[in-house]
Amino acid sequence: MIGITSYGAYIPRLRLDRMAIYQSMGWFAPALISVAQGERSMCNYDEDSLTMAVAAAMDCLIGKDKTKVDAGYLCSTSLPFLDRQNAGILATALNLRSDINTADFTSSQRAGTTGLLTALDVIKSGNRKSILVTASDKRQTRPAGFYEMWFGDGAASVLVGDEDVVAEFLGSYSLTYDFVDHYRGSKSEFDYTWEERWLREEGYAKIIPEAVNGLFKKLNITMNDVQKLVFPCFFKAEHRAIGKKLGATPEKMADTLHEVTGETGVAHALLMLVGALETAKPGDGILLAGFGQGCDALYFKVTENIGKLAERAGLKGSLANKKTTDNYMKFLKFRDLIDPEMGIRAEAPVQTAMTALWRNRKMVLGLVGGKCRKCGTAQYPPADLCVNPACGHMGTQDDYEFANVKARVRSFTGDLLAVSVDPPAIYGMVQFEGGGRLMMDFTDSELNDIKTGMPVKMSFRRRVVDTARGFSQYFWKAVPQTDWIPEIDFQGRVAIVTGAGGGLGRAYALELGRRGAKVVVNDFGGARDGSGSGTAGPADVVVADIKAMGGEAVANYDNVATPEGGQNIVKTALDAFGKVDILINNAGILRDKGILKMEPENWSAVLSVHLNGAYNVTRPAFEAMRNNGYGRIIMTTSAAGLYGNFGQTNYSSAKLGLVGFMNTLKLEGAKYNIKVNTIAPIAASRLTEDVMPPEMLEKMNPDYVSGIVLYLSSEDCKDSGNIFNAAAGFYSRAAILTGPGVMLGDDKHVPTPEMIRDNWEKINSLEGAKPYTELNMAVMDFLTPPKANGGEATGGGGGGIDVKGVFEKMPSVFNAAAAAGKDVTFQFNISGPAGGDWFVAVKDGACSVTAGKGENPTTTIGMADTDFVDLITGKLDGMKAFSAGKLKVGGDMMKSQLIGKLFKFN
Amino acid sequence: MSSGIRDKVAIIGMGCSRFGERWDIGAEGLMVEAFQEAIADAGIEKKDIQAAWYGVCMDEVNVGKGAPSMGLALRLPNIPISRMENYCATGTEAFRGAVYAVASGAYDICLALGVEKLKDTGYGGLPAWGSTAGTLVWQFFPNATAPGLFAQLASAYAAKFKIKNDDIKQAIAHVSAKSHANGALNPKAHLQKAVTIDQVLAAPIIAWPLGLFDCCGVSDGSACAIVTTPEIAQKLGKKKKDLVTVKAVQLAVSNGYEGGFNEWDGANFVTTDKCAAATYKEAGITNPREEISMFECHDCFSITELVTYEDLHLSERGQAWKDALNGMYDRDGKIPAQIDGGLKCFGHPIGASGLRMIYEMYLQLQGRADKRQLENPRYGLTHNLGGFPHQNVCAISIVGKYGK
Repeated sequence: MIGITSYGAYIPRLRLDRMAIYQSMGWFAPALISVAQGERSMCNYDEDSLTMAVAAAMDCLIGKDKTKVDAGYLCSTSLPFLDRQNAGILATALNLRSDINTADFTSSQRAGTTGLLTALDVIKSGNRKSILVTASDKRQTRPAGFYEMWFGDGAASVLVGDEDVVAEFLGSYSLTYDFVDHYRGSKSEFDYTWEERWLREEGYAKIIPEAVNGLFKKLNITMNDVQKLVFPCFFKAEHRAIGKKLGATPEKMADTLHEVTGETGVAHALLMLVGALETAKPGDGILLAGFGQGCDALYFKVTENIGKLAERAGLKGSLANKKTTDNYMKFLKFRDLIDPEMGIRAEAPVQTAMTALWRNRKMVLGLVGGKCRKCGTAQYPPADLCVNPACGHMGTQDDYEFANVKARVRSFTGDLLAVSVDPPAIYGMVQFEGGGRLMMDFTDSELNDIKTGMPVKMSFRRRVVDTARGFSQYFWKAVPQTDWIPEIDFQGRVAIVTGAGGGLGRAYALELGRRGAKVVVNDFGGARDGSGSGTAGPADVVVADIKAMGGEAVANYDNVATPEGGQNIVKTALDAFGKVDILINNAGILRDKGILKMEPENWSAVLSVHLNGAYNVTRPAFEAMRNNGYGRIIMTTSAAGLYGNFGQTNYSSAKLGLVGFMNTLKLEGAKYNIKVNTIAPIAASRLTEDVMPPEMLEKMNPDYVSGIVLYLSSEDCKDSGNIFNAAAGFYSRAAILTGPGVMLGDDKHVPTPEMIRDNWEKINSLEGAKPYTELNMAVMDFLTPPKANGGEATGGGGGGIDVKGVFEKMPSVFNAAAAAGKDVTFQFNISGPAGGDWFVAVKDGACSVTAGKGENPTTTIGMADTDFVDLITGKLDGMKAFSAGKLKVGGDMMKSQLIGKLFKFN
Repeated sequence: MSSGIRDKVAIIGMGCSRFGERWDIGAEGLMVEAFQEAIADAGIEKKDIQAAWYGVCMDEVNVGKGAPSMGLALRLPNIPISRMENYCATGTEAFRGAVYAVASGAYDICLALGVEKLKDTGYGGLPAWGSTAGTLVWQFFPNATAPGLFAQLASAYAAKFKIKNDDIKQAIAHVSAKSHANGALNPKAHLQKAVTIDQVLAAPIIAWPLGLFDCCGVSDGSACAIVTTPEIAQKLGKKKKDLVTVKAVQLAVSNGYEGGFNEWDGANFVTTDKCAAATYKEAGITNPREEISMFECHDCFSITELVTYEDLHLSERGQAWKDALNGMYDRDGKIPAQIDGGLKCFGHPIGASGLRMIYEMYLQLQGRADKRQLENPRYGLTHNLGGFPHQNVCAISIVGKYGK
């Protein structure tokens, strides 16, 4: 079976709104309004039929082995060279083999279909196995003509062969007629077109059906065997009429794409074919016809393989990647139809030396650099001597293709001095993944949309046209992918990950390193149960992996289980990188035994590593973080600790102990912007490899946990003191919740066991259970449980002032003298209908009152609205309010006594 | 075993033309203007000069190739003249040739002259090289200019040290304003008018964040130096206590590391950093921040000057912008920079700039800097850089009093 084995397309990003043409030139040619629907595709200033062909061909070759391509045809009537094979430039740009045959098919609008059927005939002969057929056109039109409206720029590419065929080729039928609907002489810039009605009636309407019917007869098929009838015809009515004449129902007619691109010349038949293939089902029959001094008709049958092609842009993706413009002047300038003043600076010499181009054709046209066999450094340009200062070996570079390598913007600028037809000139340093960098021109983007770190794709573009010598010169440019969502960045951050030699710790370390953090990779290198004297290996391997990605890391082999070990780990970070921002306490071991077999040694070993280990490293790390006013600490707990797990009393205790550690540490860290959070991960690691079935482990990649750990380690994360489960993509919050409880007994009567028994349900109830963020709040609730809100008056009491009024008045009753040397903040959370939240800051003898919640208050005050007003106006005594449970104080309780001194309300 | 250049060569005379858009004069006339001053300053006769080094960069738009243009302009008596070119470091490169010739003992008295006439091109800005940049380079170098390439230094520096956009703009504006205040005191400068920070900030953007006043202009000019040994200088009547000698002169040239390897972060000059270390070593300076009294650095763009403060080891990494804003490099600051007004006020006639920098250091050391005179300077440093951040030549020289 022979036929189509792949396809691709490219439509330039710019689309000219046809109404813009009409708005400029409608005064001159009012009839243009009849075709001014939608948009026509428009080459950027640096695109031509050759650059579009390269893009379409690259799209077509996705997932295909280009070393197998043994012929390449380029079909177009607008190629940059009349004599210098353009298909050869295309082959060099794609870095195809040299021992192939290439040809330009030109001089007719049916060059694309002719190229395609010729390729298929060659495959059928068995003389070649894989032929790439690319069709492209960028036709020049006079302003304010119909053809300017009808035409668009674009390219399509089809690979044909005998392996993994997606659409079987069953035959073709061709007619050659010297029907001159239009022509372009060899020295002319524009087409010369004859009368439209004659074109339609004598040309399209007669010749296309003759070819299609000829094919039907030759293959003994009918329109019933055709699910998609594909043929370009920019006369809409004629297109419909021809279809009808041939017996095709409207849904069989492939859309001519007038509203979205316009007719792309030689490319259009293949472009419409790509569109048909994208939506085809196995078994569909596609009939393709291309008109132009005759007509070619080809018939394909779609196979089961149609759904197996790797994802590519194709017609659909190309149409979606668009930017509409209404700048008709820009269209005219980009096509040199107007000649604006470029200035003397534009007169700089532009000659290309053919000898230099030949010697460097792969590098310049193919973006082929080098990769050093000795040190592995990928580099551009390729050179005799390796660019790595630690290597410098000579003659050690293998060809390394950069055209399809992922890359990012490292730095960029918009330059208004450089000569440009579309200022500002945008260029910058591009960094390739896996190594290699280059200062490059950017294209297809606006300056404001570009950000450092943004991904870019390589695109083959026309750099310069040497008009005096008639030479077009090509190189690659970077196209910023502006739909990128910036990654959470860790540049400039220093992270310590304990137990990072494998499993979860390793996943965290690698990802942090990849995102720019400097990482201390700690791993004692012991066995799973913690035995052994440790090895350097695991930590070193992770450090090497981070460096290979271009990141920075150092290894540390200390055991977290000792205070000295912990200090040393933090010292390693300070010595190597000067600070500590992030600490992930991940190191852990297992010694599972039922309680009766749980000897003291096994109990304490597990607590030593998990719990004490976290203390040993966290304490010095906390100090470093405090000095910097920033920190993110992660504890690793476990479902075993949170919920319990047979045989793991030691592990469960240690793991829940870490939650306790976090609960208090978060309070102590709050004022230094040190946030502490805990995760309970479930993933495939050394600790789980024999406790989970292999099929389950397969889905439990540690990478599925590192996402939430990295988020909790980032500056973006403002939460502190929370616990999260993370398992194979599932995330949930775990928390200690406390039920409403019940108060029993009173001053005279101690609650008896019987009372306990009789109120058991109430005591146990978790209805409306809530979390507490610190002891004080909880204890106060227990000692003075809030009474149910009665129908108390709306906050105000007597005296004419309400809660809001109090805060409005605060600055005016502020006692600055009492505030000398004080630097405190109060968070007032007033409940009730007239309540709200206010944040009061006192510093440098001044006070500020803002509505809402502020960060890290010294003291938190919680009261009901009426109580608050009474307190403030002196009706309610502070101590009485506190012991009656009406005044809740959190944080620094002593400072709350300042409130009465700082604000005198009576 | 080599022993460097310290105190082996004395400068006995220097000259500097008026810099600016010299519609009145060509390169030949500029050379004569500078040379006349130097020869008078040295107190020797033209026939005493035994060899010359001649620096011009963009010869295609002024003097053309080869050395004869200097021989013709100055009517030198068929002595050796070596044509030098090394991008914008051409001036220091010419100086280096003359200095080594004297230090080697091959010649007694040598001349180093730099000249550039850029205003015959017919348009503003540095001339575009096009394919004359090199047959291979031309085929893949982006459509870049100096402002755009140097502007990327600014965004890299700001990102590296997490500096806000407004702060970086303020810091570089301060750099330019400071230079203008100095240039206003210099009759040989092209621009002799002070500007305010607000004027700098409001100037139109060329390549963000560089605005018009962050970029030096294009101008014409020439400067030259006559050098000999300290012994011969004293025989010629120069007083030992007034002798200005060369303490060090070094060069560092890029090798592809910045632009083609994966480490350089774009926020500084690898070459300047290394060249500075070599220069201080040659001069015997161990604490540049305390020992350098004044310096001229290559302020083609304000951001270049800013990061160079760090590459010259005068500011700590990441602190240059704060030091600049605090006035450390102002005329009355700890280490005045561009005391003559710099490239900012003189413009940048490429071949001449390196020698113009040495001219000001020379005048300052001899107490002849008029309104710009600093008090008792000990060491003066010149930093002369050509190319772009990712591929360049850095030349640094240090001059001081003989024996001190």
